[in-house]
Amino acid sequence: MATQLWAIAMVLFATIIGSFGALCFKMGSETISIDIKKLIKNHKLILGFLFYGISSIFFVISLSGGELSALYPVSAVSYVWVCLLSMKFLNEKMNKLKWLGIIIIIIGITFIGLGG
Amino acid sequence: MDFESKSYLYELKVLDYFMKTKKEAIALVLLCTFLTAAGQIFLKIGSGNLSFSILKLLGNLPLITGFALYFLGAVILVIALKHGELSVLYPIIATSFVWVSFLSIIFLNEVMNSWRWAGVITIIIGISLIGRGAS
Repeated sequence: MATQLWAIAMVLFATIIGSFGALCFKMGSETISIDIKKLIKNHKLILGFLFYGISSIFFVISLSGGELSALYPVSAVSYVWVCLLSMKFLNEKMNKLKWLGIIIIIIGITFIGLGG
Repeated sequence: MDFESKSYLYELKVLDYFMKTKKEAIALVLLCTFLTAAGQIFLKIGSGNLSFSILKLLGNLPLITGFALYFLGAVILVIALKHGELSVLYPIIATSFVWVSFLSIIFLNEVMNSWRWAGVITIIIGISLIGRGAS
């Protein structure tokens, strides 16, 4: 089965939504507890799960239009989005080692795609 | 201080006790990646007979299992994120590609080849660099 363009576009969309989900998770994680009542009131956490869920639904739909191995490299851009969001909204510092690590991870994921 | 806020503080202390260092946060992310990888295998199996009927979707056990594993992985990820930088812990999720490669061989009858081995090794190198780059 050849991977179709709409499937690639859908994975890209899923990575953007998923990255915002990760950001919400991090923001919501600061106040987590085992108390269910407090968890339900943790809006950032709920929003994180919502984004994460929507992202994975789009990913599943895209899987029916392409191979896992071809769609994986596309999904790897989410690491770039998350680092950019971490810098902008969490004041985290990126350095050469971290960026190099991300580039190498993306290359690795592309290798896995080529091997699929 | 009322009882509720006392028990809340206690719960936070319990959480902190188990995750004092970043190493434990990284270990939790690794556990999350394994669950996510297993989830993706189930989602792939479930996506084979995808339909838009709600009843059929609810009866699609591999799909439901996949989402449940995804959810569990997400819960563990949130606990881990509390104890480390997002820009460090999130890229470690790439370990799921390593797990998926191995699980695909076992459960989807896929074949491991040189590209895949190269990918697995490269990803591990990349994750190690991020670990070293962590402040």
